[in-house]
Amino acid sequence: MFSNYIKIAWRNLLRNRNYSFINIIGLAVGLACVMLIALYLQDELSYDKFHPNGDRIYRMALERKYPGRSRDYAIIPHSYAEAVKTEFASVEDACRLFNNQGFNMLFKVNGEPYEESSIMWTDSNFFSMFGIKLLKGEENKALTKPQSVVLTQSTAKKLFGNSDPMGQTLELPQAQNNLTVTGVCEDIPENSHLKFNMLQSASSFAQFLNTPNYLSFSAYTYLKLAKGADPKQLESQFPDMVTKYVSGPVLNQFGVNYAEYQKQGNGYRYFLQSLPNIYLDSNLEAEIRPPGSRQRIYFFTAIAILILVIACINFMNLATAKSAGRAREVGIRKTLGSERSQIAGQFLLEAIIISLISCILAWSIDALVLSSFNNLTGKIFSLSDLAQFQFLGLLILLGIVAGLLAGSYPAFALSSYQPVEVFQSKIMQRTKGGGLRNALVVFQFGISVFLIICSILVYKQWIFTQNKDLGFDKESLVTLQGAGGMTFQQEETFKKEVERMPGVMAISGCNTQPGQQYFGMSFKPQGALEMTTGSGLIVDEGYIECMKMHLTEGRSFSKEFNDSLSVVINEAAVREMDLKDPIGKKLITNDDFLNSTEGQNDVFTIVGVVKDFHFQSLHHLISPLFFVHNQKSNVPGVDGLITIRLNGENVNSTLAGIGTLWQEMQPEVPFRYTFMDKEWATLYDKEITTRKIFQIFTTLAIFIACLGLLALAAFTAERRTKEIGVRKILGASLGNIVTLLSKDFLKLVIIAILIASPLAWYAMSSWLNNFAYRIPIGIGIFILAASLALIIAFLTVSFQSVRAGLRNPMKSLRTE
Amino acid sequence: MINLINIERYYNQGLRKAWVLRDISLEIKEGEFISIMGPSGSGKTTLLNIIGMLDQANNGEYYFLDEPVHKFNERKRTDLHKHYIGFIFQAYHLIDDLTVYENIETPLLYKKIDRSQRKAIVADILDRFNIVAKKDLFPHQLSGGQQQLVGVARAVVSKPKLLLADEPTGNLHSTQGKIIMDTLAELHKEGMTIIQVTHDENNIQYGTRVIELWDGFIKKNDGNTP
Repeated sequence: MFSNYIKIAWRNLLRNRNYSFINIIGLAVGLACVMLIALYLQDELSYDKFHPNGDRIYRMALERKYPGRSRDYAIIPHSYAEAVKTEFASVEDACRLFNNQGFNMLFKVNGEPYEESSIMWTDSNFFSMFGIKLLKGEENKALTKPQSVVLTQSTAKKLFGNSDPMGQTLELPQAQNNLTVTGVCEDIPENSHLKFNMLQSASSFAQFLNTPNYLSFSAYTYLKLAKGADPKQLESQFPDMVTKYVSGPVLNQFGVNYAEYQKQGNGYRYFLQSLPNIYLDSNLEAEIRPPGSRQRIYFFTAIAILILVIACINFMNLATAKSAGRAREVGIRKTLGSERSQIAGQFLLEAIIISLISCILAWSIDALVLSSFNNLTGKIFSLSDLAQFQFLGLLILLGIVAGLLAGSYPAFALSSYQPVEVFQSKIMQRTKGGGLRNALVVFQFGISVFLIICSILVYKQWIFTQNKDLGFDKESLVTLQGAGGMTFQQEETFKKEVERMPGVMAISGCNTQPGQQYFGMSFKPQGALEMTTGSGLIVDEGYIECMKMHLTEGRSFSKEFNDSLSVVINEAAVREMDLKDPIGKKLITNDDFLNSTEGQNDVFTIVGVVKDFHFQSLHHLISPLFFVHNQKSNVPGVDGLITIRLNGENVNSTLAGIGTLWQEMQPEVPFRYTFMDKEWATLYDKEITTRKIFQIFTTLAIFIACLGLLALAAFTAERRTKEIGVRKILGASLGNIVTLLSKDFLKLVIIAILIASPLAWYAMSSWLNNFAYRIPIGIGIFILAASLALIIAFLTVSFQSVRAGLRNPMKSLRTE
Repeated sequence: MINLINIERYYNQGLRKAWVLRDISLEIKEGEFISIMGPSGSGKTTLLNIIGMLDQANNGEYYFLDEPVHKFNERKRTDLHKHYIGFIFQAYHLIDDLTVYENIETPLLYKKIDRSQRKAIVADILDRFNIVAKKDLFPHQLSGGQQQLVGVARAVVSKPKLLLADEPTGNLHSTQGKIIMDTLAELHKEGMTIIQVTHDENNIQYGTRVIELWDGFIKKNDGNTP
């Protein structure tokens, strides 16, 4: 019996090659998408699951509140690690991690120079806290001593080859800073939010750590809670602890008591993040690695399911449409003694055979596109991942489920045919399931229209972020890193020399650049009560001009003045401090690093106002920003960066010239540069990925839906052959026939547009809310999407209807 | 073997009933070869379908081998039908995707007869109907007469007690039709009960009794009962 079914299924597949092809291709593409997504999800969900006590480990993070806004940080003041341990019995252990904030370490091993950028500093209990195995060295002792370093396996291999790295030295420019290798640990798994090649002992900066600090953020702080401890309860006790520790420092720094400070809208709220969820759920300032996104996971899953659904709908629609052709077979089988369940079983089996063939094809598609998928998602999947038992199992399971789902309606519809009705050919005339089929076509095209609207909007928003006037010119701007090592004099000489080069238009020094981290600065107008906290930027005289920013009032810093006590502020700062005629107004600050003597307030004068410019991506509103001149004493990190505006001609030779000069002045420091426009683009990596994914999936969805429509149109044309023949004899033109056949389908597409548009509008307005600066959703987008869908649908259908209309009517009538 | 008592069949057409069969009472004994005649629309095929359990009467009683079919559910009817009844159609109704061999084999599959036995039975029938050479061909490769021969072979392969034939020669020209009718006569001689619906006066000669329908009523019921 079984073999008989398989035989007939196979012959049917071959006889209806076109339909089978459409079914199989559609389903295979759908399955291929779902499986790639499954692979991606499996990986995304595996992050930080390998830590033995992971369920008890939490990262303490901070919401820093400012009047009217707030910001979340992954790093907190380093002294809280001690504080929580003393205050709460439920905290079993605490471990801090510090990273190098973009600072590259230059060192030598046996005279060979090396550079390392991925470094973290940590407490000695790191290896007992996290599930990263120490291969050499003692677990709790490796990182106790200052200047000790643990290398990851591959770093050890890179530096020392096959010889034993234990006890070896990494030579730094100052010999007293030399590092001793005290351990080797396994490489940090790719699926962890932690990342480093080198782990140094935090005791190397004991003086910093021993000075209590509850205000400035520096340490990733991980807490291991006692078994059974409730993190929510611990969180609820944080505010009292914060008040206890922070009141003194706040009074010192901001001149108000903490209660008053909070009333102004300022404050610190600490919260806990479960270790295994950090990667997906946490997107704070200063994350160790670019985080994942649960939203994207949902988005991927939903879209994959939609595509599979569209493919299954094709399957169902074609099977029910074709059922007229199979009705006679059902009738014969029933008269030969078949039961209804046997007929249904036969058709289900056919569906499953189709889906299993699709599975094989889906696997091949996945294998082919795997590297492109890796490019898109930044993952490193290999063919062996595709050959995993779970992967294959899931694929086949999904295939069978899809086959059963898609095959069930046709199976039950077909098996319900009564031989008497079939033989009297009532069913041939009006096939069953027309209503359902129409609903499914609406659903398919609804999804397609939805995706078209979304991808147009994602694309427009992307173009908008790319073309928005940022308030400075990011083109032809090159940034050199590692100028911090030069003396003030050296840097001045370097700048002068470079400025004279032919391709160079302007040059300036600064401590950070748009799109990167800014540290905080707080100022208040003399006599005012409230401090305004904003971002700070330390620059030289040439900066504002070099960046092509616009001054709305006053002047830029200048060599003609002593600007060490001058500030330039942006318009947002003017608004926030509520200043009329800002030029000449006096500002004071409590930030220690801006005051010459501790405890005394220097008085700064506003000399200029810069038109608001985007120093962060367009996700963020422009907030207050203070420019301080680099002549101001004891400012850290002055001129770590040098920004050069090129004229855009002979860029390579100009850069080579600058490089030669650099090497002459700082032979120890490698010449490294980045292009501002490229760096700025990386702020939108996520949007670019989203955009690409939308485009790909939209195309696939439309493709599969059109395949289905094509087949349905063919079927309709076939079914109405006689009618078309009669109409032609009565004088219908080709246009009449095409209209006749297309009208019904286009009606369905219009219904789909009406249903999908509001849904897409809703979904996209919430997506656009992620951006502080966004495009409006105009009616034009809906009109564009609707016309696109209609045109695509019309072309698909008319491909068939034109063929039907051109057929010789005598021929089609003779076959009846 | 068959006893029909006051069988009625109608379709609802709006508020009116469209009558197909009215007050049909009929007894058929084993071994009869009955010809049902009448103009188109007189209810011949419907009567045949009711006897063959493909259709059900609205009213009346139907006893098949003394079993009350009118009281049975679909499953039980299918079971009875599968074991005792074979069908032949005017349009042959072979399954296009199956070969001659496989078409003939299908009823045996539904009767769950095991493989080796199936093979023997089908081989026997192929031999008897002289179509061994055609066993691997598909229906569209055969002439109409050959297709109908396969149809007859398929109808009788499971050794039914009753063979129902709905205008078996309607689509064939006379020589082909004669071969089919000769085959039916031979089956009848071996003891099979046959009911045929026909228009063709020539075919009546093969039967033992003629029943003539007129607008759903039995107009004439005569002939020699064996």
